[in-house]
Amino acid sequence: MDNPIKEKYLVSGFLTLFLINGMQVGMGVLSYQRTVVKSAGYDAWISVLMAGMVVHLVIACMYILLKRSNGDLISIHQQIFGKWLGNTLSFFACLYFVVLGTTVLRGYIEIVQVWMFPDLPTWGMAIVAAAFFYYVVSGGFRTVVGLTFLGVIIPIVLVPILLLPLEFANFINMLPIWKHSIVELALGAKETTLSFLGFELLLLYYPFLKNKELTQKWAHFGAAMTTISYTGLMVVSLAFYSEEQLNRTIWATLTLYKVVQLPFLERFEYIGISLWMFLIVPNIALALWAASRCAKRIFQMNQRIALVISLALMVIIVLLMPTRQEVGLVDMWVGEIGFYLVFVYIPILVVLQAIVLKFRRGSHEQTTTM
Amino acid sequence: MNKRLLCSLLVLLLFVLSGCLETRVVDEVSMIRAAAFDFDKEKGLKFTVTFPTFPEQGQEQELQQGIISATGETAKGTRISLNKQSQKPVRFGQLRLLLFSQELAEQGVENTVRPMYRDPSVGNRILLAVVEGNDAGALLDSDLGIGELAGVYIPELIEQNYDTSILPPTNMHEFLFSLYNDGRDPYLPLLEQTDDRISVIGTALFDGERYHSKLDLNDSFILKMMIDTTRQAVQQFEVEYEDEQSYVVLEKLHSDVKRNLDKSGDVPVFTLDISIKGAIEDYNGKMNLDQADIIKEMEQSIEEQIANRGQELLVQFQEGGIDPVGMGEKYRSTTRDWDPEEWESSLYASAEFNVHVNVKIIQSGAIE
Repeated sequence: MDNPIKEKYLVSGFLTLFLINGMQVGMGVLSYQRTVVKSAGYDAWISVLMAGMVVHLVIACMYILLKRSNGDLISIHQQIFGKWLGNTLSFFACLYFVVLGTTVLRGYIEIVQVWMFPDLPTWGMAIVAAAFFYYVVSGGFRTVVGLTFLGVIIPIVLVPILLLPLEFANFINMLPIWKHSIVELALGAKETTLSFLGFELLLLYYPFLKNKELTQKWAHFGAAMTTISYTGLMVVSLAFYSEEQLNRTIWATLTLYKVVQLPFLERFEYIGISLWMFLIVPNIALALWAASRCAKRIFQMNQRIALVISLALMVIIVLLMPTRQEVGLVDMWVGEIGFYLVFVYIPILVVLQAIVLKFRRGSHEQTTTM
Repeated sequence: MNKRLLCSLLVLLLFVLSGCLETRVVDEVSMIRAAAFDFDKEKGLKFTVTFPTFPEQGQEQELQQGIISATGETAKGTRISLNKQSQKPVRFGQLRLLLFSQELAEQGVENTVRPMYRDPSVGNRILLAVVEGNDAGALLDSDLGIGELAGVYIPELIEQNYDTSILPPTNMHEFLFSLYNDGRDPYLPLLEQTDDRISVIGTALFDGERYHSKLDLNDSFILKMMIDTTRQAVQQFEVEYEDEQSYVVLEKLHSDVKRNLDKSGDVPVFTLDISIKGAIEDYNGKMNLDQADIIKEMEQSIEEQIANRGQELLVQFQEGGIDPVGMGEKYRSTTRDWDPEEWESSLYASAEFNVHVNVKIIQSGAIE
């Protein structure tokens, strides 16, 4: 439909794995346990597994959408809703991506403030981050993907360390398995949405993949990696904390790191928080890239200018959230909007697209026979 | 060119401005090693902290520690008043030990532990302990006369006793785990000061956040065997053989425990299966340890002792309404309609306990 992207801007198909996984794992993992446990209790790990399954379904939906239109979110919108309505919807998606990146950045700044440098000014870190992300994203999609790759590989050292708290594990907490109703489990699964979000960006970077039709298995593989690590982490947390204790712990994952004591390192969480930056950088960079790409496609504008506007928006929103309450509120709203966007809107799009295509083909046949 | 200049300026600012944040240089702060909470009649809380002081060059031989205390209504509030008396800002990142006086513990410790858990700079592995009487602060100030600082000595004393399994081990994380658990109650080591000696005298049992009762060291060991696996313990037992009292000391004592629950009857029946392996280290009786039947007899005698005392303790816990062994947890793990209220009010009180012990003496040393 649209002009194909030049070969030199494309990235290998298997990198989809890193794009999906790198974008999903971010700030959510640090604190998702508490919210899930509030509704699903100690069956929370089943909720996480359920949410992971649904993610696979949505990825399959997205591939149906993308293969049929052979474009990106903007062309899908235009195909279904026409130019004006389609572009308006795409613009909302664009705003959503900016806010998604912003919550990650604000969340990280908050953690650095609470755990490491209490008097670090929010604006200071926001502006330094904005300069950095301008540098990264203006390098183009391939630079962002490179960063994402590193953002998945480097933090892998954090994974085995999360097994060390099992010294205090009490697996009896989780028995008996499945004592909550399916509704409670589903509510718990909905709570994990914020930590699973991010894979919907596939709708934008799909045209940049080589052999794009063949990348679906990598996408599923990446999502499966996320689901497995989230479930594993949930099991570790459930064994480590008692229910009421977990309800009182905001950053359960960081507090897990806190009991890790190595002979040469008394408190691991400081290393953990610093390394976490590698995990969140691809989150923000990809979200900003997606937002600017979206704006470029809608308004036919220079992507760099779009990027600067997105960054400015991001810094402003970060500065508008000075306290924990606001951060929590925005996180909740993004989770909510993301949930409906990804798990409700995308399946609806699939149906609408099928109807539109059928209708068009019908009218097309009519015109040819005439 | 201009752009490049601007970029380098930004990078330079990044490095220069990072110095504007508050720094925490090691010898410019008072690093608290140990802290103690006491009950204060006027304000509610008395908070005492101790920190090492770093002497000038040339006097490194002398170890010294500073100690300050303040009173207040809340734990955080007392921490603020500490700073008023301190030469350097007070920091809790190196805290190892938190003591409570028994009197404060009787009124509940949640309000003093929670701020420590809330503070990210405080580790989760810090040791908690209860001190008899109402002067935990004095313990930190005691002159041990061996050139060791109390703030270092006490945590090592407690840890050492955990490693040799005399006490059931616990730290802040485990304390909070049990405290916020509907099927378990926490316990802490109990310390005592006599003249210039600090010693561990047993285990303080809690009912929720409140101090309930204490166990002596022998009972603490039995509690430890009922809760958890034991490695490398040494313990003395009394044995009776042909109407003759004698004592035997087992070393390299390893134990394992299995908790079973039978819910088929009217009341829940808990069965603890404890298996113990050990080697004889000392024996003051006249028996020949080389004879298999004597060893057998000895094993049986020890088994009976532990089983009887274990059972007595469980009944004692039940009557006191506390659950340090985690029976509620076991019950919860097999119940789909778990109701903490019902457990607490009727089920636990009606439960029955059996303790089975199996002792195996592996060897009896190098002599007959």
